[in-house]
Amino acid sequence: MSSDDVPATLALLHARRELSEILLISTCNRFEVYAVPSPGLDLDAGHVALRRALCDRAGAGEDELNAHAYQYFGRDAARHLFRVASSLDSMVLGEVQILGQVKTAFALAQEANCVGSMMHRLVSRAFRAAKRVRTDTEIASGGLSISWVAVQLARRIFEDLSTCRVLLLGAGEMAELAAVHLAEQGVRSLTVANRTLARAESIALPKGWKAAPLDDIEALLRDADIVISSTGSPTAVVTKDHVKRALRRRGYRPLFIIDIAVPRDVDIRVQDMDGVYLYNIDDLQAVAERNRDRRAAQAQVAEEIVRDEVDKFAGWLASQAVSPVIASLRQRLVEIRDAEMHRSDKVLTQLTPEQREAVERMTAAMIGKFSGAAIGRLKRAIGTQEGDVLAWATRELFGLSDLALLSGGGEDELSGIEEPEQRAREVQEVQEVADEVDARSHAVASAGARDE
Amino acid sequence: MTWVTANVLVTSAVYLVATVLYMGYLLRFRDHWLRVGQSVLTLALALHGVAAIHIWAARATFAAPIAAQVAVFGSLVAAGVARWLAPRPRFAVLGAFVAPIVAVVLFSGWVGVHQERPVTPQVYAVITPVHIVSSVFGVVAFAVAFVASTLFVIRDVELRQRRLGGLLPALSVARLERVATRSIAVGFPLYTLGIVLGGVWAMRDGVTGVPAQYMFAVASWVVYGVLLHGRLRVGLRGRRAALFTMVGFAGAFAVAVFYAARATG
Repeated sequence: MSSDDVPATLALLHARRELSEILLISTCNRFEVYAVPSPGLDLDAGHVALRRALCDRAGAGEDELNAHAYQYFGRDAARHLFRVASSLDSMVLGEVQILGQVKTAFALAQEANCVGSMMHRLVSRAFRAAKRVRTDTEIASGGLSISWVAVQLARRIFEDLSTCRVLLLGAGEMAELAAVHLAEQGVRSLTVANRTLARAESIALPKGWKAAPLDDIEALLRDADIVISSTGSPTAVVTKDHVKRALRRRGYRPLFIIDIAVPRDVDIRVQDMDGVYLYNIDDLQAVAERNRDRRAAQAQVAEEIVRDEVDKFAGWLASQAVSPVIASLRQRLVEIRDAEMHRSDKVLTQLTPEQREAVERMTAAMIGKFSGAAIGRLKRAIGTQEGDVLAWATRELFGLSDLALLSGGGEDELSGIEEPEQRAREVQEVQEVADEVDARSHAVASAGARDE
Repeated sequence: MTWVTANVLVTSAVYLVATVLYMGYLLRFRDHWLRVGQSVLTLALALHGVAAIHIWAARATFAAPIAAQVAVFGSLVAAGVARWLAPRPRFAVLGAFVAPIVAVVLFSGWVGVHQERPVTPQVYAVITPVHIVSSVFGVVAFAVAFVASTLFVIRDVELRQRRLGGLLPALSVARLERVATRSIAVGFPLYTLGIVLGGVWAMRDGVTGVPAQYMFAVASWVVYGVLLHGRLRVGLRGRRAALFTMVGFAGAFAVAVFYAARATG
């Protein structure tokens, strides 16, 4: 899906009444939809609606979707997004583009009004996880491509790549790729030298490079700083004598040679010469491989960070079942108090302002004391089965309407939990909640990921 | 003061002027400094020749010691060779290394001929701080070259072992080489000034021999002279140049430590 199609698809999905919040990540090798079911609906209902909408959008059947799709629910879905944003789920571990793509997806979702409190919290936590992974680990350090390694070596040899002249000996595809990568670094010039000048021109001229015949190796070496060789010659094209004389003619400036050809184009003895740095394809691959191993080792640390952030998000998620009930309970009690005060208005007007204020204070204190113990109990039960039972019981006992529960009181309650003075306690609570959620997911296997 | 004495003094001074011009070239790499330096060296050579002829002609009356005569005539030959080789690109800056030494040798040879004490307390008071400051700054510049050369060797080893290594990428071999060369080019004139003034300072009690530490300083000066000449004119680069720089610094550092230890008792 192209980026131009994303807003329309978001609108299509958001039009389903079963789905309240949508995030759509579309990259060259990834198409993912994160959705939050509408209030009052469970994950199953949202899931069915999402699948149906995707099938309609793609003009495909359920079987076709099943063949390609993977699905996560609740905590697992959050974990997947955190891993995606942290580049732990990428084909190239630790690549940096994916975080920008997730940010773009989030911005598009916001523009389409598809982001609510749940999605906002989910993506914010994903960004935080990604940031921690990048700053606390070296997962993004060291490139994995041959071209990247070549550029990094060049940077360690030359002071300024913009002054370097690149010479391609032969017209191999990999050499050309490496040269393109060097060209992107702003090298001074690129010259393609080939036994057939026409072949060299066919590669060089469309890219604005120079072409030259491959007849005077020494002259070519004299004028080059970086040489990428990939001719099909069965014998060495660049000999030690060539390099020795060229070095003298170039005032012994360093020479960086990458020999990609098989069999080798450059006499191996050249690598012992002062001022000459000779690498073959195996050398470059070995450097890239070491970087890959280092990243893999760092991935284990990154997974721990993701787990930590998922735990925090799960703690917050668990609190969402109880927080609206607490807010609604408070609201209900205040309404009762206000109604009773209104009913007794005739009597209360006979009181002096001081007496009236004392009555208001007293009733407010009664409400606070009455609800305080219950609210404290509910908060302590956040994330537990007992919490669900208590929340249900509170709703039934006090007749709290669904509308009141969905009016946003949960957000206020959440904000209350995030107060600085409560933060330390919240961390402890969240940890306990996370552990309990984990325990539940293992103990009740049949419930699967959806129950979380 | 006889006119021979005046000639020797003027000739030594002209050699020093040539030295300054050569050093200016080493610092700025402007060709006209080199051309003027070579011209001044020619002038100094001519004056030197006149003085040598006079000393030779009056040898019966002077009865100069053989060592003094060797100093005067030997330095003349050295200066002549340097001037003769000057048109060749690889030896164009040879005068930078020969001129200051010739100046010191000629001056001390003249002292040897006359058995005088040419360094008065007033002159001694002036040259001592200049000698110390120029020598110290010269050694500091060589220290920078030493550090750059050490990092160069580390980076070179990393690259040859096919490792990207832990050094900052910006510390490329080309940059480290440039820093080392420039540091030596800056330090060498300062160190040369220190050597020349040190030679004059050593004659405060007449020419009674050359102190060992002075010979050591001259040896390290020669190393740096050869190194600089190699870097600038012969294409001496890479590991060999870096190792040579490190060895040269060992000598300069040893001299500095000797003087520092003596100064602190």
